[in-house]
Amino acid sequence: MEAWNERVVEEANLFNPAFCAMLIAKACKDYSKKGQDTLSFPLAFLILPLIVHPGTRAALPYSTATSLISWTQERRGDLVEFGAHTRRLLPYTREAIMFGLAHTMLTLDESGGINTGKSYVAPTEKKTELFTSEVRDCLDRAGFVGRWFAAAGTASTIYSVLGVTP
Amino acid sequence: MSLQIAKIILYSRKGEVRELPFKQGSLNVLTGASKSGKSAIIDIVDYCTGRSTCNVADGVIRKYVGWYAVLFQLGDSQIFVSRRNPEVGEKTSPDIYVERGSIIDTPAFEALRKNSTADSLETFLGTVVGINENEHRPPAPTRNALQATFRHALLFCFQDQNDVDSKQRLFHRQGEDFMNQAIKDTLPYFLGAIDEDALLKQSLLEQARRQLRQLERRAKDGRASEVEEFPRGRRLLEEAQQVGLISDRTHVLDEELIETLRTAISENRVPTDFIGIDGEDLLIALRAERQAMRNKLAQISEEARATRSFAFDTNGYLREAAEQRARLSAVGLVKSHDLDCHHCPVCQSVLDVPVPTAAQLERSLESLSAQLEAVEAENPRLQVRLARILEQKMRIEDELRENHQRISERIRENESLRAQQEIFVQQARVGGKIIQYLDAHRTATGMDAMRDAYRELRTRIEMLEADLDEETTRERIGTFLNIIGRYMTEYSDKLDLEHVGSQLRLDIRNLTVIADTMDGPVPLYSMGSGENWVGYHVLVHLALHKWFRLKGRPVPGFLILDQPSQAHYPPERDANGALEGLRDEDQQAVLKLFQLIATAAEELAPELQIIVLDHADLKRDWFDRTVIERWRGGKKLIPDSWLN
Repeated sequence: MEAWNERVVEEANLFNPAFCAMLIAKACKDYSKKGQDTLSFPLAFLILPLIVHPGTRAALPYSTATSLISWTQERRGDLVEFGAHTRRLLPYTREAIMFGLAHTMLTLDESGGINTGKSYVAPTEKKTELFTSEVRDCLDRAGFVGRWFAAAGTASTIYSVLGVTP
Repeated sequence: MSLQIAKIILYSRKGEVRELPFKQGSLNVLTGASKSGKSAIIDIVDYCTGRSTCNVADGVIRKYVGWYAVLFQLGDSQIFVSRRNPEVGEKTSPDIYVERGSIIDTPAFEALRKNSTADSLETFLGTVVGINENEHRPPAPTRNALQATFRHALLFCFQDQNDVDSKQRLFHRQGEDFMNQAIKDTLPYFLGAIDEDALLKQSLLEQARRQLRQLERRAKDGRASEVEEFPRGRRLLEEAQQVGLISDRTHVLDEELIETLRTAISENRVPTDFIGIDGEDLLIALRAERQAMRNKLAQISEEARATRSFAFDTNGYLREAAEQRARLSAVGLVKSHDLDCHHCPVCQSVLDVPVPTAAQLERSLESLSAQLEAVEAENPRLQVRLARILEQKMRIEDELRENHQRISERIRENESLRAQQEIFVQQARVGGKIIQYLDAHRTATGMDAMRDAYRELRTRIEMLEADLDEETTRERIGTFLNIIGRYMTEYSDKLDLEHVGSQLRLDIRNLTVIADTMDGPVPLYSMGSGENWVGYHVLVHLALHKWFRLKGRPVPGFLILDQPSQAHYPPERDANGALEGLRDEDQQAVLKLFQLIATAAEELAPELQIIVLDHADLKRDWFDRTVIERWRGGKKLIPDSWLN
C-alpha cells in the first residue's frame, strides 16, 4: 500500500477508505440485524471483492432465498477470478477497517466479530447528495451480502464454497 | 485423498446429541443385536447425501431424531452435512445444513438451519470427490444423455442386507426403475475408461463438423461463378464501353479485365468532359457549384462528428469523475476528523503506511469537485459550437437541394440534354451489374484459403473422432474389467465358494458376476446357495474399490456392508454374536469372510474405509480391535434416555 498522496489518483479515489469502510459497516449492520451474532472478522475481507467488482456484483442474486452454496455452484464461471480479486483488495479492506475503527464507525467485540460503532452514520439519501446510482447500488448490495452471509453458515464454510483461503 | 466417514451424528428433537465416530482408512465393525439400529446407518448416510426420500424405517429412530448428520473426512479437511428428519407422514425434508472446515466441532443443535438445497449439495459433493463434467451419450438417440453424479458414485459404496445376498442384483438400488441402466451408463466413467474431457471433445467435434458443412456450401457457390468468369466479364466490358464508362479505344487483356471493370465503377473515373459534350455551359456551372457544395458539406459533417465525439469524451470523463466524487463524498459520513493515523487503532503498533486521514480525503474531494465544475462550465460552449455547425450544415443542404432542383429544371428545359440523362441511367445500371460481378469474383478467388481451412478441419475432425472412438473405449473397459476380474479371482481363493479356482469376471452389460468354468460361463443368478451370493457380492465390491482407489477415481472411499454373515449365521439364531452354536463349516465360513474383508482393508489402508454392520462378534483379538461399538444389553443407536 502506498501513502495517499502517491497513489494513482483514480484508484485512490475509487477505493478510498471512507467509501470502503461505509460498505463494510453497512454489511456488518445488516448481518447482525438478520442473525444473532456479529460478522466474524475474516468475513469482512469478502465484502469488497463481492461488491466493488462490477461483474461479481451484477451476478449476485436478488433474494437471500438463493443460498450462497447453491449460488456458488451455479455461478462457478463468474467466480473464476474471485480469488485474485480478493487478494488484490486485501490491503484496501485492511485500511478501510482501520479507518473505520479509528473513527469508531466500526468496533470489534470480544468474540472477534465486527460491528458498527458509536459514530456510525446511516448513509441516508439526504446525507449523501453526491452519490451516483452506482454507489447506491454498491451500498444496497453490501447490505444484501451482510444478510446473505448471516444465513450461509460458518466463516470457513463461506470461504470454502467461494473457493478462497482466509 | 478419498472421502471417508468420520462420524455419524444424530440430534434428538429436544437437542440431545449422539455421536458415532469411525476410524479412517481401516475396517470398522459395528456389532449388535437385531433392531438396535445397525441397518439405519446406510439409510442415514444415503439421506444426508441428498437422496430424495428418507428411507430410515419407521420406529424409534424416525420418532425421536430431529436431524441426521454425517461428518466426512477428506484429507485434512472435514465436511459436515446434516438434514432434518422429515415430519411424521412426510417422506423428505428440504432443510439441509452444510459446513466445511479443517476440523469441525459438532455444531450446536441451534446452529442447524437450511443453508443448502439437495441439488447444490449433490454438485458440491461431486466436486469434492472429483467428478468433473462428464456425459454418457448412448449410441442410439432413444435415451437422454446422462451425467454421472455423486449419487451414482454412491451406489458402489452401499450393500444393504437385501443387496448383499441377492442373486439378481449386484449393486445397491439396481432393481429400481432406470437404476439398472444408469449404473451401466456411468460405470465406464467411474472405471476411468472415458476421458475426463470427452464432453469437451464431443462439442468440439460437433462444432468442427458444422464448420465443414458451411465451407462445403460456400465452395459450391464460388465454383459456379468461376466457370463463367470470362464470358460474363467480356459482356460487361462491352456494355460499359457502350455507355461511356470506359473509353472506346481501350483494348483490355484478360488479366486486366477485373481491374478495368473496377476502375470503371469508381466515381472519379466518371468523365466530366464527357458530360460537356452537349455544350450547355450553364449546366456545367451548376454542376461545378454542386461539387463545391458537396465538398463543403462533407467537411462540415466531419467537423460535427469531431465536436460530438469530443463532447462525448468529456461526458465520459464527467461520469468517471462524478463516480470518484460520489465515493469520496462518503467521507461526509465520518464524524470526528483529526485522529491519529500513524498507529493501528487496535494494537497501537506503528503503521508502515499511515491510513489516509479524513482531511486528506476531503482535500481530494474538493479538488475533484473544482475540476468537475470547470469541465461542466466548459461543456455548454461545446454544445453551442455543435449547434452552430449543425445549423450551417442544414443551410448547405438546403442550397444543395435548390441546386439540384435547378439542374433538373435545366435538363427538363433542355431537350438536347435528355440523351445525356439516359446515359446516366444506363451507366448506373451497368455499374450495378459490374459491382455484383466483382463480388462473385471475390468469393471465387477466396477458394485457395478455403481449401486450406477445409483440409485443416478434416484433420481436426479425424483426430477428435479417433479420440472419441467407441472402439477404443470398449477396449479400455475390457482391459480394466480383466484386471478387476483378476483381483476378484485372487480374493476368491480365500473363501470356499462353489466355483473356487475359476476365473471370475464382472459383466457390466448384465451387471452380474460370471465364473468361467470348464463347462462354460456361470453367471451369479445360476449359482446356488446364499453363501455364494454373499461371497461374490463382497468380492466384486472389494475388487471394484481396490480399482477405484488405485486409479484415484471419483468414488467415495468407503464401503458399507450390512450383514455379510447372514447366509451362515441368520439373525434369528443370534446368540450374543457368538459363533460357537454353529456348525463347524459355518463357523469357518464366517471367519474367512471377515478375514478377507480385514485383509482387503489393510491392503488399501489408508485410502479405503470399510464399515461392516453385523451381529456376529468373533472372539478373536484382531476382530476385537476393529469393533467400534457393541450394541447389546441396552446400548444401541438411539440412547434410552431420549425416549423419556
